[in-house]
Amino acid sequence: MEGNTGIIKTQMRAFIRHEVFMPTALLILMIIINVILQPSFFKGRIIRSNLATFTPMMLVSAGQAIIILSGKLDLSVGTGISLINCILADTMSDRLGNSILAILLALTVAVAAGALNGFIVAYLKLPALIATFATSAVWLGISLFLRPQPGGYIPIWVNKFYRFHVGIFTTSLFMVVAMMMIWFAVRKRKIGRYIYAVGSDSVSAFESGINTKRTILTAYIFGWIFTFLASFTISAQMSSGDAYMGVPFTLNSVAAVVIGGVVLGGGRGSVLGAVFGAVVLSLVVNIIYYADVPSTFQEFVKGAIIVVALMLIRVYRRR
Amino acid sequence: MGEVISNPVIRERKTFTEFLSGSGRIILPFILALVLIFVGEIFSKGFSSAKHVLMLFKVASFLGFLGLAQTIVILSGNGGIDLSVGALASIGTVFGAAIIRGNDNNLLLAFVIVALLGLAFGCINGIMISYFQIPALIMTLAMASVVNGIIYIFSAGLQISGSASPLLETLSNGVTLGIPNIMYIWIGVTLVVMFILHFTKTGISLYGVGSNEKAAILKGVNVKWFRVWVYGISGAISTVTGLLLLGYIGTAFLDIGSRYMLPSIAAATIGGVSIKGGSGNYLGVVGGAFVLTVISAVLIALQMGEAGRQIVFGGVILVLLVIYGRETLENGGSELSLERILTLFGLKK
Amino acid sequence: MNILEANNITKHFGGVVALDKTNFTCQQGKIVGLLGSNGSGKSTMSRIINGTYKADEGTIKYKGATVFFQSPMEASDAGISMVYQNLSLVPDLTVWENIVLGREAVSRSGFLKNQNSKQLAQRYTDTLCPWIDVNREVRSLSPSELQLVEIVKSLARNPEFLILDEPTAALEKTHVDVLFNLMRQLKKDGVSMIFISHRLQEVKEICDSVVVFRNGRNAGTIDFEKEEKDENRIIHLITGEIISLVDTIKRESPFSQVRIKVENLSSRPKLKDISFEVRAGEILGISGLQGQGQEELMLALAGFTPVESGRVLIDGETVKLKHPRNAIQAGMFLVPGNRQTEGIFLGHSIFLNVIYPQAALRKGPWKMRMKKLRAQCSRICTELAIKSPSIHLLAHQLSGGNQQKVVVANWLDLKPKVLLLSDPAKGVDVQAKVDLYDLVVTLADEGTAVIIYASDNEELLRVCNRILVVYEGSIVADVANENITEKDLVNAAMRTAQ
Repeated sequence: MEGNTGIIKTQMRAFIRHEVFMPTALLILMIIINVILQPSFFKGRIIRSNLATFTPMMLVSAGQAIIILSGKLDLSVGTGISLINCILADTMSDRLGNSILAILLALTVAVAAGALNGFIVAYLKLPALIATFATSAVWLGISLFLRPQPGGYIPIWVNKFYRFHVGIFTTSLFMVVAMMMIWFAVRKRKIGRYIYAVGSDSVSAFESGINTKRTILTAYIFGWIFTFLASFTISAQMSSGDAYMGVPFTLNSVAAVVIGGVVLGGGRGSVLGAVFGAVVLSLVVNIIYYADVPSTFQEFVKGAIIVVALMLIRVYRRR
Repeated sequence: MGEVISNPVIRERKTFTEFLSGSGRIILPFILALVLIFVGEIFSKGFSSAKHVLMLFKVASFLGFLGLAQTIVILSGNGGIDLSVGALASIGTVFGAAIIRGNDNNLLLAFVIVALLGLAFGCINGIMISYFQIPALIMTLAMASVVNGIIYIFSAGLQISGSASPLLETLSNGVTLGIPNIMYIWIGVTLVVMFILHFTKTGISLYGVGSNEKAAILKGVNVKWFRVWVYGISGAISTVTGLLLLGYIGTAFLDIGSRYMLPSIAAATIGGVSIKGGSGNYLGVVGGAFVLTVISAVLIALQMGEAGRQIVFGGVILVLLVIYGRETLENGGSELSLERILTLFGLKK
Repeated sequence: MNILEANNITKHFGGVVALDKTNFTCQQGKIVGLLGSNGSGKSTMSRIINGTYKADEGTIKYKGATVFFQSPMEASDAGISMVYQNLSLVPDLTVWENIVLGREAVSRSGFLKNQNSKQLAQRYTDTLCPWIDVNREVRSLSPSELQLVEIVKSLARNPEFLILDEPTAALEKTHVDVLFNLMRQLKKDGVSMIFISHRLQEVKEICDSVVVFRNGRNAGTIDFEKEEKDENRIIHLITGEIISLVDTIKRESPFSQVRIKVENLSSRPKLKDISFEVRAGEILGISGLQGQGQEELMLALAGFTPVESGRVLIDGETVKLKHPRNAIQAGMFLVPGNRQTEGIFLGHSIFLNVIYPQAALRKGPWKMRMKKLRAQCSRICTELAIKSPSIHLLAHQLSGGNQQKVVVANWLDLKPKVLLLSDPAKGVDVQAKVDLYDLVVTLADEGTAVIIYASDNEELLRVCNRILVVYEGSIVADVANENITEKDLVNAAMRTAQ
């Protein structure tokens, strides 16, 4: 009937305009290309392996997205991942009790780091870009202090725990889903809306009685809880600690966030989009590998693909 | 507001206080550097010697040039930043080495080609940022990735290498009349830049573009095109700096520029350039580059391990930002006035 | 009964005295107009009442008891609410999210009760602007609608005392009527209000009395219920001088040649087939309901918005309008409608602002002759009576009226052939308004063709030779300014709206 097609059309238009559309479309595109180049893509083993590899990126991008939504930025998440990794490598052991304490310690450090960054940016009002660059040097320094050389020990049971699976449902997938559900719950609370409000227009938010400083601080702490988990998941895949391992995560997380449709100025976009953006980036690396791009060209192609993806997003936004 | 006063002549020249309050942010980094040099002398004899200080200026000059590239981009506003300055410096080094191959006759050609290369990459940045409205943060980041990829293809893949020529080495490393040659270049560049920024159409236009883009358009500036040029020139400055780095070090190695990328932003911010655009000047950035270099040198003189150096470096930047870089003014960010310095030192209520 | 009494209020900002032993009272259920030039202290007084600032001396009595509000939130909880101009709406949230922002309804476990909030928002929106869908994103609203939503937001807090700071500056004429109806209803419900505005017509229409500040002190009070609503007297209190704003300064153009001819100008979606011409020395007004394309017309003529068809000729030569640069080269300059976002560089000096267009010009030497330009700037500032001790003062330190003068100063020495002014007197105090229009007349006498768009028809009637009425992007009337009144213009604008 006429009425029904009208409703379907409006809903389709709404879906296309929805903030998650573009990253979803890109994701599907990347999956298709990936499947063409790697026919075994949908095999259980491959999916599990990919999930395990992509999860750290997904988590840290989600955390970065929350911070960016509040109107700020954190360039220290990468070295922060290294820091947590080094702490875990130095404090964990095969004894479960000790290791639980170690994990709690690392979580505390992560939250403290996020709170410090949030304090510097929101209360001291230092520009986020440079301030978090400065703190990233501090995290790197502490990591080097703990681990001047790569080493330490991440217990085997952590790896086993991480690789545990039922079908394609892995621990890593579970973690991502659980964190996203927590975030969706946060969005249904005042603080969730306030993060968007402060990112959209912090002056107006303040005039409306919102404690903008506390909101930004909270965004950083949320972001670092995600960062902690990202570090945990990547530590589970390495067997030791290394002060430099986290560095690529910083700028990649920002790229994932932008590809995911979050506006760098804040206030607009979705964390789920950023997660998809992270998968898109990871799949690009996959694609380059399976397309047999010579190793010398890989870095170049990766950068070029990102530029093209950004152009596509912009063109889409113009409509 | 007081009573209406009729002013037959409005004052044209700046008062002394007005002049000083703008210069406060320029003087302080140098004072700070002075203090640090003194500290360095305590731990390492000869640190404050003229020879050593001049050497510090020499080392700082490269950061100063990349800080200049960063400054013009940040001044142009609209979230302007250039995360590709490091990568472009690296490609300047690598391509420069390949063209020169140790031969002085190729030097001029190298300068021209390297500059054009930087201009081209920079303009691509500018076109993407201006016409496709890709945020500068992300675009220059991606460009850095692309440029690094090209460097890798070029050097590792095609296995092309080369080296600096004697003339270039003299230029970057040599000394004339007791002062490093590169310092003459830096002084010259600083004078030219200050001239352009304050006395020419280009400079005045730049400040407006960064301050209020729409107003600048309505007053006749083709902002989109202007920004393409700004990024282009930033790129050219970066690559030429890479060439000079080649002369300083002697051979090309791949990643030489990346260590300068974030410090170039720090130098600009410490130098009083507001991250929002439209305000700040280069003289402060010179001070910023110098003080950052002195900090690194002091940390090495203190024989701190890498770990300690990183932590202190980060901490010092934070402290400097608290003094300089706070985003408190509605129209920009940092404004260090004489009164504020005095207040900080407890000399004023 | 006095609901609010401010006694002997003194307030300093650094070395500047904003208020000097000033008094203000408001009776319950009355609307008091608070008038004064920019810098007279009226904004400061209202912000002290609403808790944004704290007075250095003096007391505030609210409902008979002395109060010391520490923040606008405290004042709001006590029932005092202030409506700013678009200061507290967040663009990426919806209308209803904005209306309840900061006061959302939550369940016991802390989750948002969105349905409740939406209904509440709808209820209040219906009283003022029922046509606005509360699910729309605020960034999609027109400036007038933004102002209305801002007012709704304050209403949702059920204030007993409402301060409206220039609420009509951004409103279309029809919306102003809607607002006034609401205000009358609120009066019946016992709400007391302060109404701040520069528009004397509106003040006369809605206020029960007016209080006038000048230079931080009380200049006078007029009780409309007992005394006459004499505009000249009000102006005298505001400026301390005798200026008649009511008399027309329109004069005939001494020139006869056509300076600018617009033929079939179209620009989707706002402008449709616009044609008109203006002689040298003539002052043309553009009027009509707000949002009918007048601002777009000004921007299109200035070369900012793309034009699809039609052409513009200046002194017989076609001007291609791809960029403001083209218009400027042809001698056509724009004084934009919103100086803060379009017209002025707040963080830079008067000097840089005034000489800026010369930096953007192609012709002229690359190195600018600073000494000569400084003298030039100084001269222009004196001519325009810009109140500043030095040309190096930063623009954000000037009053609105002086800022507007700086924007006009841009173009003075460039000998404009056509001067476009987009709502030049918005938010400008009485004295500066007079200065600006005097300047316009002087330029016209020298041969400039002037095109003025004003949202206040009174201004157009004072100074224009002819007035075009615009409706939905087309010109629906072209009247000579002879013996016509505001009512005629509004009728012409609204007749086609029927």
